[in-house]
Amino acid sequence: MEDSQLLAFCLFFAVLGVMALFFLSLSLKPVEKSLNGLSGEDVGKIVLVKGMVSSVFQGSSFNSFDLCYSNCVKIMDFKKAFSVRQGWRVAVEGSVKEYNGELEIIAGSVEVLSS
Amino acid sequence: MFEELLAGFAAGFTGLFAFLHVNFLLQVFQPFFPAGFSKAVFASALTFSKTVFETIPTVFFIVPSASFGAALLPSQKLFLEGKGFFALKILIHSMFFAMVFSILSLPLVFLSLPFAFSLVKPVAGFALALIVLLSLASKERLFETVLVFSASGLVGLVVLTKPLVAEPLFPLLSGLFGIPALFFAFNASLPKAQAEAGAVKIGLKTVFAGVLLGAFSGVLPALTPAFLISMLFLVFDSTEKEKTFLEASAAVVVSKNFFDFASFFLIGKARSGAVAFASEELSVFPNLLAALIAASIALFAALAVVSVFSRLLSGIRPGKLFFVSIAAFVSIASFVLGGGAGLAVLATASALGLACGIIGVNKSSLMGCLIIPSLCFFFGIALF
Repeated sequence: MEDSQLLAFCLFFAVLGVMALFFLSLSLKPVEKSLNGLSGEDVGKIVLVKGMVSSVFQGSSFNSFDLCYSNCVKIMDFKKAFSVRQGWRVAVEGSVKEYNGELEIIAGSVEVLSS
Repeated sequence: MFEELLAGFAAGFTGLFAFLHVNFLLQVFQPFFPAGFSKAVFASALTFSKTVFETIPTVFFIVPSASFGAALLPSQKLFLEGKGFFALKILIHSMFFAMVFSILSLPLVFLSLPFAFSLVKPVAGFALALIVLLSLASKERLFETVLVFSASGLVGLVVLTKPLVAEPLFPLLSGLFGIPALFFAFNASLPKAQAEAGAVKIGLKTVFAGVLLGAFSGVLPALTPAFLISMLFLVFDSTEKEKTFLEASAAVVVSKNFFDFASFFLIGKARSGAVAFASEELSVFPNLLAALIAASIALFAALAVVSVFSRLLSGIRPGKLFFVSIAAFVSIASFVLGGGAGLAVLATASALGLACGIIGVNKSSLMGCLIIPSLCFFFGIALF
């Protein structure tokens, strides 16, 4: 293969990849869900949920808190990146996992709505 | 997602400084990540663009990288014959086809990898040991070959199992292969560098075989790209088959890195630092897909850049000043990475590499530095 052909193919595939990534990013936008609307079908999805913080736990390797509205879901913070307090209203974006039969959310970002 | 892709691709230019490992770079850049930054996309884009840019120091500056390791030898040989540009073209063309084959074989690997994992794991160490023994037995001057293999294995065991140096592969491989090559070439009369290499015909079967080797190496731990390439080198004794070896090496490096990401999703084992770095995100399929797409984009874009600018390097003619400069650079880099211990590793490995050259034993025997530590790991042997 000539160098000019390699260059052309590489640019073509790179552009193709960018288009694929663009369409994938649209599907990766978090789905806004209510806390009582989460179900087993949401496992593996990225969701955005809002609620009030209760039961904050700070451990040696991770932090967690319960996010409640009409029911509560545990929010796991393995990066120990988010600092929240009981009573704050927050929006959490993260991936839904199932652990010991219970749904929990691995937090990717936490936005404080009111403190 | 595009910010992470661009940032990872740009960070991949650090591949021009081959001694900087991906794991080290990820730790350096991580504090600067804003909230919501995709570690998976950044890590994969960095890994693949860096792998492409590493071909330049590997070929033109005789500096080994953690990715290409033993591929230094045949590319070094070609460079000293004035065919450095040809060696670079083989690498980048092979990497292109390797990525295409990796993408096409992704469904097959997805289906068969978990099964292969359960099947191979109990016997892998024995199979690898048998391949090594048979390869050594086929070499001429068996006693000297085994002696050099064992000595390099001992050096490798000490350097890779003890926390002497932050990036042990760089001074180890530079000493075993780079410094001796510079030494022997110092007074040699070298041909003029060839600026044109013509169209390169890549052995697609070799590339495909390398892709499969890299894809299924994820079933076992400790099979780094450098180890796989050193096994290829030992088995195929590629001092006379430089082109084939470079094709296979490029394919193994690309597919190994590509399928390390897929392997984590399938079998839950992180086989590289980049995957371990982004492991949380990679357990979610859309994130894995994003990482693989970013990997492809970064690789193809980097190949485009290298193919455009490679002509600037094609005229490099190694002379005495060049060799001294490279040796000084390697020494300084070894000191920066490991202080006095880094220089000691470099000196010890250089002495062994020089001895191998003076005795006249095939340089593939020096691959013991990677193979013996990996075999010890497989069999759970801890000598130190």
